[in-house]
Amino acid sequence: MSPQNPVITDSAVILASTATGHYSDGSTKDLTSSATWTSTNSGVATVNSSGSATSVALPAGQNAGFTSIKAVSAGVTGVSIVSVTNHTSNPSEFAGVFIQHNDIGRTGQNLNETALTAAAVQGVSFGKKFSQRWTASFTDSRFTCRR
Amino acid sequence: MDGFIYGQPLYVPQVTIAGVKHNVVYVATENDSVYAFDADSNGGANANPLWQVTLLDAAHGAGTGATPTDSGTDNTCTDLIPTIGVTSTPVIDPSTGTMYVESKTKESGNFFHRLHALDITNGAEKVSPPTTITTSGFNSLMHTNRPGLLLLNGIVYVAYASDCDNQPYHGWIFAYDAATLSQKAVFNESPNGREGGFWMAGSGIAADLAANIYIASGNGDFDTGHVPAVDLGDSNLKLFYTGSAFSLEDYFTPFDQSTLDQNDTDLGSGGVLLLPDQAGAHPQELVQAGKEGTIYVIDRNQMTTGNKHYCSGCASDTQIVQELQGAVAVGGMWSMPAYWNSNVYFWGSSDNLKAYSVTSGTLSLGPTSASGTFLGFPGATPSVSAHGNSGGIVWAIDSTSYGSPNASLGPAVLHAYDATNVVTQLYNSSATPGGNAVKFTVPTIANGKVYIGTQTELDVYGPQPQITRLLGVGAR
Repeated sequence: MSPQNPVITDSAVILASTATGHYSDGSTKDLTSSATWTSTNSGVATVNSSGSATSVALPAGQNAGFTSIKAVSAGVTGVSIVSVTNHTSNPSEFAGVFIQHNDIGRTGQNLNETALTAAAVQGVSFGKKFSQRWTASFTDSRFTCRR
Repeated sequence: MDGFIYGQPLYVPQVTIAGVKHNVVYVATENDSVYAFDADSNGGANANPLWQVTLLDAAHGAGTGATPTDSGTDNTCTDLIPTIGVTSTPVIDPSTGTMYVESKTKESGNFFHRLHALDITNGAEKVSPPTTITTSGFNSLMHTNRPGLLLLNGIVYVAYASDCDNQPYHGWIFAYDAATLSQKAVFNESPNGREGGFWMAGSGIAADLAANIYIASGNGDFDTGHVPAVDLGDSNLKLFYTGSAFSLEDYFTPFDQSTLDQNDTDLGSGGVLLLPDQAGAHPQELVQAGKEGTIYVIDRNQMTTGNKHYCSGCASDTQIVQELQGAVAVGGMWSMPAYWNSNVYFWGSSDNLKAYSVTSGTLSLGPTSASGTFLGFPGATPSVSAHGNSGGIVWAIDSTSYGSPNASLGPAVLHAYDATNVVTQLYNSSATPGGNAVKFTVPTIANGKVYIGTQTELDVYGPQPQITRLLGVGAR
């Protein structure tokens, strides 16, 4: 199936998928029109008999949803996991943010970092900028005597 | 700060607090406090926290006189000292402005775990009261939430292990509705046995785009009498939340599980890394290593060939994609690896930072580069910053001087290496020491700065202002 594991927004985006059969003699055949297409989560995206998937608006507060788009032909199944993001969450606002445990894209990285280059991260040009050492002032005595 | 910062600092840009927009860094402490600081300055009004809350007051669900648990008297364990409050890394949903935090408290001689949903603009509970985390058979004193929280498709996942190995304990995972904090499902990985536990040195619970959950368990009973096994000590697990329960989708248990258990060589001391899709026969993979230092590369869609989850009597695990044992392995992992641009970085205990290349889903048979820096226990969890596939820097904290009772006491030291060749160290902070080290800590890199939690403070590193010295006649 193509494309594999795409990410689209929930703004009724139409995603055209194709199914290609690969045969033991090395030949291939376009099975898009003859395959049976299904979506396992129609609350995220639907798919028609031609393999065109359409994303569904996600409810407020839901960042993303996922569905498996499947194409079945002659008992053989192809799968692509479609990720649908909530366009109102404005993901671009968070570019450059590294929050490992909210990392649905599982990149585990800050891949938009432009200030921290090898040239900038050197002994004379890089170092500790400041510290936050705030000491709590809660009334519980445990806190007033412990930093 | 009023307590050790074990969890990773979290960063959110452009949060409006008291009418002013700030880039904000959030930290939580073992004294059950949560702080929000301006991420760019500690000058002027930013010398104080933007807000701070204690999870020990009534507004945050605690009873009168609530305290964190005392490691010296409550569970007599020196693993996490001197108190246990918030240990794990919280998780933030930026779309709703909610921070989910797990706390442990002592109240009138009883012990409680709670899941809080805090407003990131002021620290107030968005669901009041916060939910108490418990289920039948769950001993609140004996358990501690080590792995970072996972927020996935509107569900918050919280996993538990023990303090030290004080009994009784199991490996638990709880699922809560993020909007209501109502309990949705509970999983116990050793229901008929002992121990197990999800530790992973604080690494987060992993999840893929299909909402499968991956987690590694520690020493404990393993059920050799059933397939699938019921008790799943020292195993890599693939779980799925069905909407009402956890389903065990697949698992892999090393051939030497019994030896690992007997020798306290937990598999689950290390976190689970999910690789980006790979070319070849195994497009979706995970990488994991535990105290033994053996590296396991596992197909997430079919973890073991022929569903041979456990190979009794074997000398290796040929039913997974790749296993690197012995000389080509890494030091014992109390950390998790990191991935960037076809490289996987490991920093095991009593070892150097090592980079392995990954090609079509297979790791190089040895490191492609290694740092000159050697770390004792616990090694380090590397973080990577980059601009796409260029400018990669591997960051890690030397926390070996985390202090009594098992180590000397000294500052956390930040290290930076060229990600294309970790032989090249770009920087280390030895000359400008910060707060004393907390083991297992992980640096957060965002918007040109690096944030480190310590025993007493949050230290912020970044490019220094360049001083231009003007020299002229009569002016020196």
